[in-house]
Amino acid sequence: MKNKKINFDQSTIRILYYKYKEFIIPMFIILVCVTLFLKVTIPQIEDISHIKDEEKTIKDSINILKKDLIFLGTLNSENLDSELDIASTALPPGKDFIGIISSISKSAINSGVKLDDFRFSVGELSTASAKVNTQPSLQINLAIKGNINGVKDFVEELAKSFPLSEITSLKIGDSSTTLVTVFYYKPFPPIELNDRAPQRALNKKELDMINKILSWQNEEESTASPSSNF
Amino acid sequence: MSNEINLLPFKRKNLHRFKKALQIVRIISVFLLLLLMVSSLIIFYIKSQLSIDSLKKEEENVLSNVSRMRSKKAKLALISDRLHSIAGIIDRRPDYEYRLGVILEKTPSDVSITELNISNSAISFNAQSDSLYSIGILMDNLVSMVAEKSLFSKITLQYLSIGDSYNISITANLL
Repeated sequence: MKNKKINFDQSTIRILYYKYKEFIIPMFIILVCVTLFLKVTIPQIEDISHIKDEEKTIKDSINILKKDLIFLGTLNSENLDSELDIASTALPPGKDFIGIISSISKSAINSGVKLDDFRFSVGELSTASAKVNTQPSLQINLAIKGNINGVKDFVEELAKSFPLSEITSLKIGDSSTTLVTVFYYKPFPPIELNDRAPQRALNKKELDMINKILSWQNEEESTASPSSNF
Repeated sequence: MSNEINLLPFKRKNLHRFKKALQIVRIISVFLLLLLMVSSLIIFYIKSQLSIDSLKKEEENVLSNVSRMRSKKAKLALISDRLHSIAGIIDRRPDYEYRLGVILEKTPSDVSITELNISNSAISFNAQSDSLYSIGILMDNLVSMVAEKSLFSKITLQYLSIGDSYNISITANLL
């Protein structure tokens, strides 16, 4: 069998060139077009898709920000200050000794019991729940004189007075009743504000809590008398 | 001798096929060229319509307006945080008033409570009465509360003494 050899010498190339020279320009155009399509047009189409996504994201962000702006615009600064005051009265940012003494005094007056003495144990986390929740509190041992109904009224008054307190033990004896109470406080936490985060209004539970605190405050003020019971 | 002599003679059939192929290639090249031009124009038009810069500018403006109201946002966050803590304290603190009320309610009028201790897990108290019947009613009331699983899980009578009057000491475990 005879071996078939292809010899690409100069004359062969020349022959092929003359034979197919009319194909060169169209083929070159096809090659350039395909290359441009792959390297330029398709990335541009993808780019448009990304831009559209980005546009949608920015539009959503603008909508949220506009809603926030309208919502924040409707908020009254004085109302906010008042609500913050109400919440801070119930749970002060620091050890509110005056508030605590006033609360104990008013509770004693309203319940008709006599306060013997009380002792502060500053800075102690006294209850298990307080420890779990790392809620700072101030422990106070109270001694009161009064009948059991008076003690019950005192406990009720104390529960509805501010700063918020919790009784951890109660001992009613022949001559006096001793109570171990903790008064809670909470320093203002550092607030990290994100302008882009959607701002929510106070929810129903929070508004109910404000109303509850207000009603307790009003109850306390309406029953309190100016005289002291120390 | 000329170098441009075609040494591969075409047959007529091959020539026809060659011309047809050339025509197809030319058509494809023109089509692709047109496609590239049209697609470039469309992309340019679409891109010119997507005004992302103006949107970004608008976003910045709104954001700066929102930033001016940061104090309101901060106050809202503080109020919310404080109310959350208040709700937590109120929800978890034991209701001593209710416990005392229940004991008083279940105690007949001629029975006096001489001593009472309430902790987070139990209530213990001493009661005194001239009537054993009234002491019995108090016991019955407390036992029925255990049966009803109301406030108490267990009642223990520590002692019952009879002297000038009847004295009992009871410990009740809270639910």
